[in-house]
Amino acid sequence: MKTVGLRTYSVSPAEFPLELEVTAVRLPANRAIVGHARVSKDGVLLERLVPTIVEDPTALAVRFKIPLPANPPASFDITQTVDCWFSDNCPPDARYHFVIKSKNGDESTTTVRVPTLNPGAANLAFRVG
Amino acid sequence: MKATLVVLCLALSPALSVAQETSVLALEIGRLARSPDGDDDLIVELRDNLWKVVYLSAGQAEVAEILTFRRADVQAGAGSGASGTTSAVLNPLLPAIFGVAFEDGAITRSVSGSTISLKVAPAGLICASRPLAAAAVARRDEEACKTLWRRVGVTASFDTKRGEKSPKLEDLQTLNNQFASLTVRAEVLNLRTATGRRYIGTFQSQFTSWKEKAAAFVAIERDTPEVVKAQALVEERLLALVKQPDWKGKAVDKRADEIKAIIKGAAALVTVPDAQATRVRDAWLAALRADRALQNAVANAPVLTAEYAFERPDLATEPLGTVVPEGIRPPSLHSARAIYAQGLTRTSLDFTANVSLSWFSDVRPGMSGSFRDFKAGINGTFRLRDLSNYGAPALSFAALYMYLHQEPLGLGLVEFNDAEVNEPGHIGVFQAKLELPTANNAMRIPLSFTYSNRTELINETDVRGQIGISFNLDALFVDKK
Repeated sequence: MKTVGLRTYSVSPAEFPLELEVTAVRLPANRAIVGHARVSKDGVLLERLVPTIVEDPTALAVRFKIPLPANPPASFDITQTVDCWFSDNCPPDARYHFVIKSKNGDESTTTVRVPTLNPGAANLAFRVG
Repeated sequence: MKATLVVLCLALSPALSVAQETSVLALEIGRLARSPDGDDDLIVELRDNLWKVVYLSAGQAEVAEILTFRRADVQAGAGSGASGTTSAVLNPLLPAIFGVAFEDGAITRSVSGSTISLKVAPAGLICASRPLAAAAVARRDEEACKTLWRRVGVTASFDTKRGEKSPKLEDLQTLNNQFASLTVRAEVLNLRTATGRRYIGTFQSQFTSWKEKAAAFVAIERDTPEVVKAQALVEERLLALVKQPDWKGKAVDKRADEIKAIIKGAAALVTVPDAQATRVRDAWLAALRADRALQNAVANAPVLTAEYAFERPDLATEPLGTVVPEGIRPPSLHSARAIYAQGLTRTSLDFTANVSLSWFSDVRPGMSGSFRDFKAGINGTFRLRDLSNYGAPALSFAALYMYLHQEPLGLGLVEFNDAEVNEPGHIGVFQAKLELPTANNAMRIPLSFTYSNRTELINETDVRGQIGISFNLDALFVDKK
């Protein structure tokens, strides 16, 4: 897995499934809401993958996987939106820390900081091929 | 005339809309503008939240609805027992690290005194001694100080007017005279700081409701192909902007203006069908309302605090009845108090109730036992709407009943130090108080009106207004990023 742009990653099919962990920092609870993974080719939506979320309230973390779609084309894109909700009185350095791991151990991170207006969105894009 | 008005409105509305658009990304724009290196993470958060500008270019009334409440329940002023205080009923929460309060000056003819109070959370200070932990402790960050003692606070008060000794007492130590009281307070229950599994369990119904609506919102396809194109444009242009040779040398305001221009330019290229915009805004608003309900539930959760106070009166400058001769210190006073606070869900009203009992440390000839007084009070605080960059003003009403069993012997009755009560009996007090915040909530200005009806004791009705200034030094420890 290589980072090829802002929150944009190049992934080979052999690196699936991708494992994602979102951890809330300086917040009372993890309130990250994970959207469906959208599989598309040339801008045309092919499939939606419903994520299975594993919550770990003690660690303020949520974990989920992005599997390789069934019958995938030779090259395609997967995009996923994660909405991160913050408390009204959270400190200025409250944040959600994302860790993205591929099957071969590559790892990438990104951060969602306190937004002016809830939720703080993160759009992740994976270019597969 | 009518046609002229229509034309005028058409001409003005786009400008108004554009002016409001980027305000929904104010924090994000500010962070990037302050970044001399143009951090990629700061650019991408603008790209990924561009949809807010797109969907709020119309429908600004909905934006106004998401204004939220801040907590207004950290009290930095002196306790209700100190002279010159503006507090009738104590608040159950102590500043997390260190609060210094100075209140002075009654606005009526009597100046009752000046009290400096030092409030310390011992565990907070210990944890704050670690590098980088001070700001986290000031924010009441549970992770910053994992110890049972973090909920214990100690307050020491010194009355500066005691240093103004009469010539008869000039041989006595000033510092010793100024010491007024020592209070130890412990938060027995505080659900407002619940985290993790406890947070979800405590606020389960509101959390579940919010989660359902937030999930429905994220499921809506808000990033239409046009929005995606605009996002790509924002990313490209912002990356180019921060790579310009003169980026580092530009003033922050100039950078912010250029960022706003890029965002406005990209958003202006997007046309969203009304039905799509309505669907997004409705779902967003529903999630925001549910989020507000959750935040209110947290802010209104119960807090129970137990308190013990030791108060040392000043040396008597004149005889106190037949018990304390001139130049002798009256007996010290012990007080036990329970303070309970709870808000009403779906409102901005926070109730606080106090019950306390006081007794003297020793019984001297002429005293009718050690029991001194009983007090019960209730306070209702309305958290008003946030003032941008200032915090929320708080309007409170308090009622207090006291029964004084015997002469107070030098300490006076807590709310009326300028109208000392020396005769036993029943006393009623009513207080209205407005606390105005200042920038970043670092200082709050309380304005209070107090009414006491105790005519059976002093044959008069006393009305006193008080202005005080409180400093919450916690705010100074919170770092800005």
